[in-house]
Amino acid sequence: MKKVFQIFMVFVMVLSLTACGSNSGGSTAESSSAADNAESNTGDNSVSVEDAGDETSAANDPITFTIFIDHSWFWFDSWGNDDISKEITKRTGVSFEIVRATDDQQLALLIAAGDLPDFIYTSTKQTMTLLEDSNVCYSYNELIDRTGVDIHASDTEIRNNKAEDGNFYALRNANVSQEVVDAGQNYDAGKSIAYRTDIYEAIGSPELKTLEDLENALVAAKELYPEVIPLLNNGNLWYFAEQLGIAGTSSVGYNSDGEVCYGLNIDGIEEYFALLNRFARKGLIDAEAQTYNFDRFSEVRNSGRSFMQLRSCDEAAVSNLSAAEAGTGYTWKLLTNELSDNAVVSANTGIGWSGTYISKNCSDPERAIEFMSWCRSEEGRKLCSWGIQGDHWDYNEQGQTVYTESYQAGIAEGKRMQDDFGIGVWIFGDQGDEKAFIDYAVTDPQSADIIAKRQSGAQHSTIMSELYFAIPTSGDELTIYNALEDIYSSEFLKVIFAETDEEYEAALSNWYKQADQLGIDKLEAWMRNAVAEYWK
Amino acid sequence: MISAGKKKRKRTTEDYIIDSVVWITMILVVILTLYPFYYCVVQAFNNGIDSTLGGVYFFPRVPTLENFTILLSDGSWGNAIVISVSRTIIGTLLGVLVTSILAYALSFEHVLFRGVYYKIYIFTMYFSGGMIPFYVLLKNLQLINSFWVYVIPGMLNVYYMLIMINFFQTIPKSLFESARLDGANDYTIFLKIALPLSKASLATIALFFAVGQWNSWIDSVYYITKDHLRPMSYLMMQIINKSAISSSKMDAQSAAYAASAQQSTTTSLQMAAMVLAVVPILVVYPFLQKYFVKGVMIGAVKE
Amino acid sequence: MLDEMGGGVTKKNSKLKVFKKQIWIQSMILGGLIFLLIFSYVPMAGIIIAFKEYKISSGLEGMFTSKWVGLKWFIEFLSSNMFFVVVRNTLVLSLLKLVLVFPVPIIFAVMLNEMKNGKFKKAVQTASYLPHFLSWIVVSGLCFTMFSSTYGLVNEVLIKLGVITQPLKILTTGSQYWGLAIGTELWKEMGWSAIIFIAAISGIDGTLYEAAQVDGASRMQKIFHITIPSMKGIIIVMFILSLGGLVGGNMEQALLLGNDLNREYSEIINSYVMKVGLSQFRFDYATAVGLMQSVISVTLVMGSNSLSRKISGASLY
Repeated sequence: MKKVFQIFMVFVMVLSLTACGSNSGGSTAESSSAADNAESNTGDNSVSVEDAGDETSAANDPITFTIFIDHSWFWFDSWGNDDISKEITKRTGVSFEIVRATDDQQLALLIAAGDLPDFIYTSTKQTMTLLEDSNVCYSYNELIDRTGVDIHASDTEIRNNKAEDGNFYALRNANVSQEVVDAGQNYDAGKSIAYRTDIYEAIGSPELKTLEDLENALVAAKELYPEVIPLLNNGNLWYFAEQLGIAGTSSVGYNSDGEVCYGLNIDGIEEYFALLNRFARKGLIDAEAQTYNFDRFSEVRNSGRSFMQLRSCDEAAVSNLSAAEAGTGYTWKLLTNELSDNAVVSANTGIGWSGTYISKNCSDPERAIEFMSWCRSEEGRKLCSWGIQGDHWDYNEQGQTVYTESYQAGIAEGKRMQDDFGIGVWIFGDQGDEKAFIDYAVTDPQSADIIAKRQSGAQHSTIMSELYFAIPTSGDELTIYNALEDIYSSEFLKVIFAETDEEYEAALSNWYKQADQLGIDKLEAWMRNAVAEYWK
Repeated sequence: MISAGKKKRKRTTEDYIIDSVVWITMILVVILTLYPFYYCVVQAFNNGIDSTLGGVYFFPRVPTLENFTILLSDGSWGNAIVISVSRTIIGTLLGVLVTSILAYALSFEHVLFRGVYYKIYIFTMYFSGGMIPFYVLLKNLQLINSFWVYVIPGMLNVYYMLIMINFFQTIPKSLFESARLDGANDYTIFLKIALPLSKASLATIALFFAVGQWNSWIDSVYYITKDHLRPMSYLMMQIINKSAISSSKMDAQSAAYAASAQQSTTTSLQMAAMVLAVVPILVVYPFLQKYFVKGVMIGAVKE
Repeated sequence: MLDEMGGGVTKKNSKLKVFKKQIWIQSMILGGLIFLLIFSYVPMAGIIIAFKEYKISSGLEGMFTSKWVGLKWFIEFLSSNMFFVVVRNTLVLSLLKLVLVFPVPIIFAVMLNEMKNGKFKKAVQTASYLPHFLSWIVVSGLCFTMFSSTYGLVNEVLIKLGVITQPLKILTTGSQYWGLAIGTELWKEMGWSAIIFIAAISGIDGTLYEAAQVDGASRMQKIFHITIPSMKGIIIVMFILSLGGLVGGNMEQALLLGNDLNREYSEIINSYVMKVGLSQFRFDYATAVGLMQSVISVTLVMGSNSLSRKISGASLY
């Protein structure tokens, strides 16, 4: 026993020496490896034609920033392992040490303890509200004043990112303006239904032009294939509200007087509930499927237990890819037309998705804002969203942007745009409009569907930025809003899965009663006021 | 354990009944507990996309090592093993040392202020100021982003201490009496009498500490940002967590991106991560098991 | 031993004398107290935010400088729409677990003891604690694989055997959640919790059994008169400690096995506070609820300890 103890003590001492030593070596090792990666990239055979002339920052010295990416599903948790990040480092000298979110409270701890990294990349509204504080982060306008860089932002964009104190602390990416949407160039073509071709043919390949058509098709499929779920949804049931022409989201919208209101009072919402309830009673949607995460959803879909799936506009492409890999022989097609004349496509606020915040702990805030300016420049956007010209994309004779053959070959092999190439990942500066996205004239199965979809619904979508500001960020109204949101999902499911008319009525009135008790009137009064403030 | 003499006596009806009941129950227990784990291992060795088709229950349908190669080709697993092993060994040693000494000290009924001490210790099990003050404390102690954050705060586990106290109290007091009459001080008694007699409880506490250290990953999430200090359990949870998030809690755009990112993390990959992270400690435990089999008292008690 | 340890004498400077005699022991305990002071008591100051309106961007200083709101968060929780539901679920699940799950590892340890030493016995013990190593995320995935009404193995088998015609909806039916929660917790922790009891049994003096054998005791009599009574101490310790967790509950399980369809039965205090408190960065509210739970837990532990000492003589401390 004593001898064992002695050996352990020696082991402990040795380890403690190595553990302490390696602490300090961290950041320098990171930046030197990033620099190595950047240098090795120049040896590629397909030479980059784009010269680093116009918008790159003056000081291209290597610098490593720390960043907290508040998306636990993010494709990467380290920098420099893909083509695009290496190229970014080559052109700007900037590399990142990434901490990817694992848990909700991580960031809160860092904020409270004042231990924030240089950058924070987040899309959560509460987090953004916390960060929009001059004690916590630098405001962009202050840094722009200091350095004089061009941040490439329109007035609308700046207004949409304005914090309570009048400054703006980030510019959300993937934002959309009304002009872009009207021109049918909005990349996000919203939710879609993909249907399996073999079952579709078995029920006689019926027309799917209206909601009624859809319902009939689902009923027919259920009769022919009782063990198959007719419509497998992964959330996204709001699709049907959009088809019915309801403008807004499940949380905020407009009531019959045209005023801003909470989701329960939206004009036409009861028609939406009734439709889903009818679907549920006919067995067209599945109760358990409402609890599925993506893994379980995939399992049901891949094993052939679903006819139609309701998810996002790449659903057909994704399903086909999985089926091909698994060898099951199923194929899917995307439903690219709308199901009613009133349909509103991807009713969104256009505000954007994630903002990149620069914390007060940033080692070099001037360099940081210069980097953001580069990201938002045409060169930066093209690199991050499209890839490296010559390697991944290029212009054809007509001047259209197309993917290169080597890229397409990679895709055909099963490589993925983000995971394997790093394209569309580091989109800090992406502005979600046509200029930032590739105009593919060549077929990429996902893109063809997306293009068809957005062209069909383009004329129906409306940007409603004010709705974003109708959601409270502090105070009693926030508590009311959170409580309402907290009960939303479970009450909603009780309503739509009610098996009799009495149950349905009871569930619905119970929900409204709870909402009243929670203070929905107070919230809506605040909302109307907030919207009025936004337009001032 | 029942002593060897039992074997010589004849088996009665009662023996048959009890033995059959025990055997049947135990077989059921083995099936119910072993099969799910076995299922996970089968998934780990099965092709990822094929696993999503379902129906793989007993043998891999499309056997492959690709899940493991994907994980191990990422260099961080090698480093993570070193971290996991180090924190387990050091953390267990420190924990057992501190806990057994304190338990020994508090196990005597006539220690001055004993009641007060107990209350002070137990109070800390239920009251806490929350994560923020603790984080700031660790920061001020330079423990953030240091290996020692894994082993120092966890050294004193009041819960385990209470269990060990109970075990120490089962040692007959007469042994301590005779040692004291021989002139030994508390320190000697602890080393030469208390510890050797508590092998079973020491092994138990050591096992709890070891498994706790091996599986612990949330401290890595909150207190560490440097990649080279990540333990294996953290890497495993990163992979498993990626797909665990329900998209209904995310905003629409995040949900769309997330679904695309989650594509590549199949159930098989998650299972492979789990196998890599869990199996090592399962291999070590059987060596500690022998301490539970023996139970013979050293030195007879003269009544 | 009484005199050696110095107890029982109460003259004025005798306490100091006693202390000196116990110096080694006392210094050990005090060393532990210093550790606790640093790592437990100093951060405990943070409890104060339970009575304040705390914004985390104000940092650590903000804990002391922010506005005092008294019992605002306590009242908010006690009057919240989910209060009755979450408290009921928490208590029911904890009590059911105490009654149905707590005794099982003890019985298992006793049964294991009745087996002959050998490979099978080792295999049983090893297998029994394997589930403890699976995280709840993996376990919830397994639950879907087994019990899903769409693709679960259990339903497939039962329907094939003709036992049922419609698939069981264990995962989505609220009233079946408690059974699911208890069943999974039992399966997951039985083997691991048994380890303490196995260790305790291994310390029982073998000569006691020999003596009983000589007196003609049956096996059942040996179990009830030797094995179980020898574990009395540790059983009571574990029981009292379990009582301390009564108002807490298994949050991971609630978050992962709970879903929008069974919420009325699955939401417990901790998971609810996670959703409306911590996820919204409302640390003040979360601390307030936590404080209420802490007070109740400590009361339960101390109360049951005194009760136990009076009734059985054995206690936690």
